[in-house]
Amino acid sequence: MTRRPALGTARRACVLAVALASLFAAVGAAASGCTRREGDGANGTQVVDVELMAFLSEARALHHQANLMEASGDLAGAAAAMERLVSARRPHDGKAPEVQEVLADAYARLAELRLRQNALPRAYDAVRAGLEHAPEPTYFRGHLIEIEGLIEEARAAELADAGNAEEAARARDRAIQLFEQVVKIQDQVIQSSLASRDAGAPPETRGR
Amino acid sequence: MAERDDERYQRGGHASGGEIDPDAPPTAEEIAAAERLRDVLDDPSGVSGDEDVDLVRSLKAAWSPEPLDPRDHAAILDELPTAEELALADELRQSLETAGREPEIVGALRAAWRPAPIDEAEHRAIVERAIGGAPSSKVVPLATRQRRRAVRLVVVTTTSVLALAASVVVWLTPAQPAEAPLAKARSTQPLFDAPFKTGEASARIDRIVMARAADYRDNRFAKWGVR
Repeated sequence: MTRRPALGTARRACVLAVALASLFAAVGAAASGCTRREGDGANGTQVVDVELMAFLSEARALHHQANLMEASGDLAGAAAAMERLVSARRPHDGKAPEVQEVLADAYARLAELRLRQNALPRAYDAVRAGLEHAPEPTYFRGHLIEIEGLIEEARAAELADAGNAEEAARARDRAIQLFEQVVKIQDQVIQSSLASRDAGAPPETRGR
Repeated sequence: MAERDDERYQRGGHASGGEIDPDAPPTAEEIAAAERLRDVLDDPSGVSGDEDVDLVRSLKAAWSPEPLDPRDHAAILDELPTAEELALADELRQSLETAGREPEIVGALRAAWRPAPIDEAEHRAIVERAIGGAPSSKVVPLATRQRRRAVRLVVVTTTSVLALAASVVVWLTPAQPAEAPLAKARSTQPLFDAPFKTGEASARIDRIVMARAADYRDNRFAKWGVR
């Protein structure tokens, strides 16, 4: 049987159309799957999901574990619990605001525990690590800087006790600057909170 | 026979001795009876109705048995068909002899006993029934085949266009409205209305977990379609 040329062309065009349609459908489905994964919101933002809740639950458990150790005078054990928290696996690459803020608060508590152990350099390291998770003016950043000021204050006293009056004075000045910075940050936070409340937003918006 | 013996006894002058003379000539009556018996015996199919004849036939059969007539044999064995069976047999015979349409059972029996090639028209009818009534011997014209091919092309092209359109729709359609009200991850700052104090870290994480647990529970219900 001989085939007409026009019919053959139509057939080839049809096959091409089918191939293109399949390609577009596959790409569309893949793109749709990529942009709307489980746990993603309508515009790609992370929603409160099971992974986030698991991290928060782990953080809560470690904080309460640290409470019990701290109450029994085991400051090293309490610090170890916080070190486990800041080293724990973070959901969704640790980008969720809750994760960042919980880490910042854990570093703040770790710094406090090291300060109470008189491990000032390590306390300072914890503060610096925590500040990386709280770049914006929030209570979390203000709390970290407040602890940094306490560390400088303790360092000034230590230097003074060691007879290094000049370094002690510099440390004291730096502590004063840090506490001043804390006041500014907290003032900013309060102003922002009041502005939101005046705008009619509820105290805890659902972010929807 | 007893009467004849009595007659011979009397004719033989046996009044004195009372014995039968075996050499006495046959009487006319005895001759006539002998001839009648001979005739009856020569025609075994004949019906005598005479006890003497039946006795003689029985003796003859016992002395020199011969094959029975088939009808007599069938009658003896009670195998003779009934009138209804004979009528049905006659009908069957006529059906087999006639060239017209025979009963189905006859055809089946004949095919089982002696198979023969079936009629071409009947064969075609059987094939057509088997393939759903499509005429097997019809040759599809070229125009019809082209028309069918054109229909296939239209169907495939339409399907392709629809698939393409569906893929574009999938590409462009935003997220389902049901996902919009899900609680998103966000800062926990609004949970706190005062600067943090030393020693309250666990209280803060307690508050954060409780707030987000409520959000998570709402999200689960929302995904299950419960509001």
